[in-house]
Amino acid sequence: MTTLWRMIKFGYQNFWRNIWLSLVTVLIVMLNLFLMSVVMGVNVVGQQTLIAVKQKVNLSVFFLPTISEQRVGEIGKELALKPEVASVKVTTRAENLQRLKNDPRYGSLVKSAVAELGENPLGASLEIKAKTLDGYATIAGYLRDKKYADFIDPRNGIVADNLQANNLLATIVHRIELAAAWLIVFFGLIALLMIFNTIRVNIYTQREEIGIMKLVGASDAFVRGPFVVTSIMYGLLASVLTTILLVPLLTFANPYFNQFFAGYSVDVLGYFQGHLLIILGLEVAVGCGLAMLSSLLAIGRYLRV
Amino acid sequence: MVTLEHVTKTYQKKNIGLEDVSVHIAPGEFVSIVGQSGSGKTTFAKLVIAEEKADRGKIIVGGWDITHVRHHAIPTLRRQIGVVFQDFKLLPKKTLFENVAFALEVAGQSTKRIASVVPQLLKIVGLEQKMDRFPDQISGGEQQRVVIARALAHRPKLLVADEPTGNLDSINAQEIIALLQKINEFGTTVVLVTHNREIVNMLKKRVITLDHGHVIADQRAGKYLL
Repeated sequence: MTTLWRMIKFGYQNFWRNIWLSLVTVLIVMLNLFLMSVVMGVNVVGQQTLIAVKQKVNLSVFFLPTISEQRVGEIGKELALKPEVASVKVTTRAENLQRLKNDPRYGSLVKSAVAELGENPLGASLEIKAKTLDGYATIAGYLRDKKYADFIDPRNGIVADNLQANNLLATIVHRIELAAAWLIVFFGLIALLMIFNTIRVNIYTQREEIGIMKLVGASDAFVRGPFVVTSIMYGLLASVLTTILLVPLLTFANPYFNQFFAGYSVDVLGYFQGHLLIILGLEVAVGCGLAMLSSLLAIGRYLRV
Repeated sequence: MVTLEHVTKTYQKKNIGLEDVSVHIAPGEFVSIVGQSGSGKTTFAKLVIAEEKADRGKIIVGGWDITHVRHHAIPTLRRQIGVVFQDFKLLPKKTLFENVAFALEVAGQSTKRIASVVPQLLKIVGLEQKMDRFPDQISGGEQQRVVIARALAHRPKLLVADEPTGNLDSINAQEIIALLQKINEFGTTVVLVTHNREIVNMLKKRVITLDHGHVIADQRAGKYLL
C-alpha cells in the first residue's frame, strides 16, 4: 500500500514538474475526446431519429365504403393475432372524413364533395403497426389475400406511411455509424500518440532519477508505475473536463436541435442529462484506457529498467 | 563476501573488460581495486552490482550466485549492496534528507521508519545539521558523504565505491576514505575502486591490481604498484 501510494505521489510530481507539457497533453487529449464525443453524439442523434421515424411508420388500410365498420373491426381483430402485428387501430368512416376535412390541403374539396354526394364517400380504415420493419411486407401479403382483398379499396387501399423515408434514413444512419467508427479510431490514435510522446519526453527528462532509482534498488514496477500514474492523470483530467465542456455546449445547441427535429421526439440535451453518468464513465474509460495503453507502449519502448 | 571464479567480460569489438579473473573477498575486508584507465576496475564493480553480466565464469555475492541473476531479482541484490560513484548521482531538486530517504522510499519502507533512520544516517556522515539543504548548497565532499549515507540506507554488508574521491580535493578525499574505513570497522565489506596512489598507499589494506583485464597482483597489505 505504501509503495502504491508512493508511485501515485511520484506520478503526481511528474505531472507538476512538467506542467506545461502536461497541460498541452491534456488539452490535445481533451480535443480528441471531444471530437470523439461529437462523432458519437451524431451517431446517437442518428439512432434517435431512426427510432422516432420508426414510430411514425405504419400500414394504413382503407376499406370500401360498403364494408361495415363492424366487419372492419373483425378484420382488425384477426390481423392483431398475426405474429408480425404489434397493434391495430380501427378508424371509423366519420373519423376519416373529419381528418380529411381538417387537412388544409383537402379540407374545402372534401367538404364540397360531401355536399354534392350527400353522404360520406370514405370507408373505415385500419392503422397497423408491425413489430419489425420487415413485418410490413408480410402484413401487406396477408391483406392481398382473397380473404381481405375484395373489401379493400383497389386504388390506394394499402399505404405504407413513412416506410421509404425510414429505409433511406436507416441506410444513412448505417453509413454514419461506419464513418463514426473510423473517426473514433482516428481520434483515439492521435490521443494515443500524444500521450506516448509526452511519456517519452518525461522518461527522457527523468533519466537521471530513473538511474538512481535503479541504483538504490527500486523494483521495475516502482520505476514504471509513476509514468503510468501520470498518464492516467492526463486521461482522467481530459475526460472529466471534456464531459464538463459538453454541458454548456449542448445547452447552447439544444434549441437548434429541437428546431431541426421539430415533430420528432429527439432531445439531445435530455439524452445527455439522462445518461450523464454513463457518458462520464465512458469518457473516463476511453481517456484512461488510451492513456494507460500509450504509457505502457512508451515505457516498453523507451524505459530500460 | 565476493567471489569471482574465472570471470571474463568482453565488450563490443573484442574490447576486454576482464579476462579469466578469479578473486575472493572475505566478509569484513577493505579491498582496493587499482589499475590504470581501461584496466577493468569499473567492469569489476559493475559485475559485482549486476549492472553488467559476465560472459564466462561465476560471480557470488554474499553467498548468492549472481552470474545469471534474473532481471526481477536485481533490485533485491542492489538493496544488499551500497554503491558510491564518482559523480555522486544525487537528485538536485531533493534535499539531503529526501535524497537519502529516496533509497528507502523506493524499497517500500514506512514513512515512520524513514523519519527515524535518515537523520541517523546523516549523523554518521556528519551532515545532520544540513539535512534540509539541497545538493548544490554543499561542497563536493559533503555531497559524496550524502551518497555514502544513502548507500548505507539498506544496512548493506557490502559497499562498492567506484572512484569516490575522483571529483574531490585531497582533504575531502581523505575525509571520505576515513568515513569508508569507519564503515568497514563496523563490519561492512568495502570494495574501493580507485587509481589514487596516495590513498591506496596510506590505507595499507589489501590491494588487487588490474591491468588489461587481468589480475597482476593481489597484496594483503599492499601498495599502488603501477
